[in-house]
Amino acid sequence: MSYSLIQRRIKASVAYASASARNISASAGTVIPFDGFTDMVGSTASGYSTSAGVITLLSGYWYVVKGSVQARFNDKSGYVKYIWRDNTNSDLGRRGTLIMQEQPQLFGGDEFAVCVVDATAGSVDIKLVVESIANVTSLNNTTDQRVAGWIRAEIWRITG
Amino acid sequence: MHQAPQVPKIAELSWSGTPTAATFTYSMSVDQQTSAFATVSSGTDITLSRGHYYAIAYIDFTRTASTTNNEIYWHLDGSPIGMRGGSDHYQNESNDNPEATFSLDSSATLTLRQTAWSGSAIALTSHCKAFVWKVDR
Repeated sequence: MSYSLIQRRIKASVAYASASARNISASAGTVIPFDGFTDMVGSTASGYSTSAGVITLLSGYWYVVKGSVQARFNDKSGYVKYIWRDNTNSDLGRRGTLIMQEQPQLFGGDEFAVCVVDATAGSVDIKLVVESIANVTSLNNTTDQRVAGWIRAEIWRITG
Repeated sequence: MHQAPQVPKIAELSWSGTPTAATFTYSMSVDQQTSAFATVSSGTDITLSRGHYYAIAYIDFTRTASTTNNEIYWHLDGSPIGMRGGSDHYQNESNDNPEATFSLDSSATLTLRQTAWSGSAIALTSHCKAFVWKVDR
């Protein structure tokens, strides 16, 4: 996702969440173990917390959250699909799909899992969950660290 | 002229449809929005008022053959705008997500359209979502 001119002139604070775990074995239902936050715009990172990867979004705001994973595939047919869910395991927004750009599949989609979350009336817990996965060695795999972007999630807090 | 940063308005929409021809306008429905500004009429037309906008549509699909591909653009009052999207994940001929940035002096209609295909339709899933951002001008 690029950043348009209007996104450079809005009232929003942006932080990114990361997962320090490496070589994560994953299967359907695995919760991405986010455990750290870093400010990108503004200073909201210290206000976020996690428990077993579940991110708590503070009350009083709308949020836009985008997440993607890093994975090493066993072979070119590897893929991971993942989606944001709330604490009732309801899907939020749309899922992301990670596949090899060079490998045609009978399915596809952008790699970002994206959701808009209304936390204006109370805090909301969200988690990035593996929906389905195949032929993946691991997530946050360290084999090619120099090209690894690691697992990331951007959290845009819309400030009023 | 400098304009102070503003609180953006954001709409999340679902888009759907099965093209029966190369050109096709997708159906739209508003899932939620941070502040009401986007309405859908005739099932396909997003009505927007004066303002600055950014729109992106995320695609998610299945297909029966990897050669089944399409091309998608945002259209403003019937004319294509912004960057092409599509489903071609192999030959890298298109970006995944159609995106557009535009400013309106008065109300206009935003639609999402397939503009070309390989001869048959990909099947969209329920994960096809569009996000429209607005700030006032």
